[in-house]
Amino acid sequence: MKNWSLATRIVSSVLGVVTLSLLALSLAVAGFTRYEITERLDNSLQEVSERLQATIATQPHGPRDTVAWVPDVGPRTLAYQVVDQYGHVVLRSQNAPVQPFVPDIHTGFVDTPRFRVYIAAPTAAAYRVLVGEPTLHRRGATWRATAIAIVPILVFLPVIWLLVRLIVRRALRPLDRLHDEMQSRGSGNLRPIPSLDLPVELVSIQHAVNTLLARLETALSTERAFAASAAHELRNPLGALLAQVQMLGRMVPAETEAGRRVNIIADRTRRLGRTVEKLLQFSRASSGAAFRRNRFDLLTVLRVLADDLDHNLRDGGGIILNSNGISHIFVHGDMDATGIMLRNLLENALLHGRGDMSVQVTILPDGRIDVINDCPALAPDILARLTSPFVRGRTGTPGSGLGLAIASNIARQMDATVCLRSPLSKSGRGFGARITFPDPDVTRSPDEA
Amino acid sequence: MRILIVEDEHDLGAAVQEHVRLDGHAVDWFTTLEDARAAMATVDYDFMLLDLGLPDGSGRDLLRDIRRTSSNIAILITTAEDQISDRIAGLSDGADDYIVKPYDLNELVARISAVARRYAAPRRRVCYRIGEIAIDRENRSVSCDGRALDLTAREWAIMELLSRSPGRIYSRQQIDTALYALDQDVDSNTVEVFISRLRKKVGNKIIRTVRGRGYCLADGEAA
Repeated sequence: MKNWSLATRIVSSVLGVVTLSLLALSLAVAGFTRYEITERLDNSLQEVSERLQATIATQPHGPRDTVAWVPDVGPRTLAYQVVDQYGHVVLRSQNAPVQPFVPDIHTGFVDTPRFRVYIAAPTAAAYRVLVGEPTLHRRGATWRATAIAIVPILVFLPVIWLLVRLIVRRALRPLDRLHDEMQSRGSGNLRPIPSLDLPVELVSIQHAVNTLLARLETALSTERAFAASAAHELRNPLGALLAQVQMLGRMVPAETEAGRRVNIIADRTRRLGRTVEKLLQFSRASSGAAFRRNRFDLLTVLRVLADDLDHNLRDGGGIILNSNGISHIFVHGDMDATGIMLRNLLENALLHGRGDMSVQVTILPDGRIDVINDCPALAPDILARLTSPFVRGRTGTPGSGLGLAIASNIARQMDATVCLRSPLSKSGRGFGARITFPDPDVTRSPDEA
Repeated sequence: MRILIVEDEHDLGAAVQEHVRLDGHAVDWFTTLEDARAAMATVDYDFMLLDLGLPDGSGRDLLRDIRRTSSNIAILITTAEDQISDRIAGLSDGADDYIVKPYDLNELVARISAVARRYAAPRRRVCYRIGEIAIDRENRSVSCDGRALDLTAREWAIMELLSRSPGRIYSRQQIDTALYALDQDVDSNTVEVFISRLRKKVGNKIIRTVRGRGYCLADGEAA
């Protein structure tokens, strides 16, 4: 759906209503003016005609078609004809036609193409007087009156538009401030909206939003606190259990039945520890922890993780980190969530890669990260489902099936992408994950720059 | 090494203390920061296993306090705080390593050795030879003319201490401290007994007695 602006809609609506109203008003005024002008001019025409009729009736007339020369006659000057009882023009002004204005002479107003004519009522005399007003004059007067009513409106319409726009924008300024504040909330910023000197109509919205933000912050904090407490409450007893079982294992010979059972308990406890770790990570990934936005160095996180995993999980290959001369990659996101994501990708590579081959972690010049391990190629349908929970690449492989789902979930929350590929080359082997963060700030080492 | 464990989870602390002690170290275990500070005021520890969530505060405070002093103790954080920010903060505050619970005791001991090696490498000879006797600090072994000698944990602890600075004289008190935790009873002639046993294995001329002052290794050469 196309977005629209409240200010534009109000301005256009108000302006539309104002314009239509003014136009309707102008048309009414123009119509009324025209009617009034016509009436006044008709009255004048009739008066002139009747006076002339009275004057003519007492005057002797000469030969037919005598032209009475009137000075200063223009295109708007009244014209008149004196017609005898046979319909012949016996006297006319120089701007009147030779023939009578109309062939049938009846008292009243008659319109011809060039004149509006009034024929006065007959008197005792044998002559009739026809006075014609040029249509041009009448039309001009009407147009001028109409223009006087409409043109100012047309001239002032842009001014009205500007004023309405200014007033609406000023009136909506508090709404803009509220909009800006609300827009900055969400990605890690759940602080309440400060006092903005809002009108009463918006204060209730601000209060509602602040209440919602407070509830959201509380909910997220509770989830984070729960995950942290759960980690403490689960890891400590598990650590104690594993340590005690291992000490028990030192007391019992491994080849005895008791020793075998102790080993089983120790293995199960280790596996339980890994499962707890994955579930805690899954809980954190699902709690929205990754929605926070802080600036941190991705490379530091990667180095600490690689160092931790390198000397813990492998006797053989380990992790080779190739930073390509890059010293820092600053990104915006949640450091802990990023740590969980990268740890899962690295653990996945170590777990499913060939034991005697290193996991290659390469920092690309644009800040993207490649995590690559050697393994048989994965079928495309399995590759497509790997980011779903509890999906494993190969049947029977160890692992919870949660690692890539956790990584993918966190990446989504941080607007990052994790692109999985297999195979990596023509040899038909290998698995790779490419992590792309939005707008990474890459700093090269001084000697590499 | 003389190791201090600060861990409030009793079942875990007890097991760790026992396991590390069996690996040949003198281990003291305390459950609070206050007790740990008191112990550090009286004993010169080489290594510390530090939990962060303790009843009377955060282990991170103790870590920062130690790093503000000239103490050269190696510190390994053992904690349930598993976030990467916790790990980075711990390492930034001066910890040498960071391990998250639940951990394997063998892995813990391996990490202790790895950190101890890092501490030893810059200032101490890793391998020292006195005549036919070779002391390999990295592999924690002593050999005579290429033949490995079977030393007990206590015997190795004395040899490890003396080989830190060959030629330096270590007092009986210092050797006592390296050998025994605070909760262990020590007889007045225990050090002499172990020195005597060591001499039977490595030879009388390897460990010299400096009358009235203590013991030191005979002159040799780094290998």
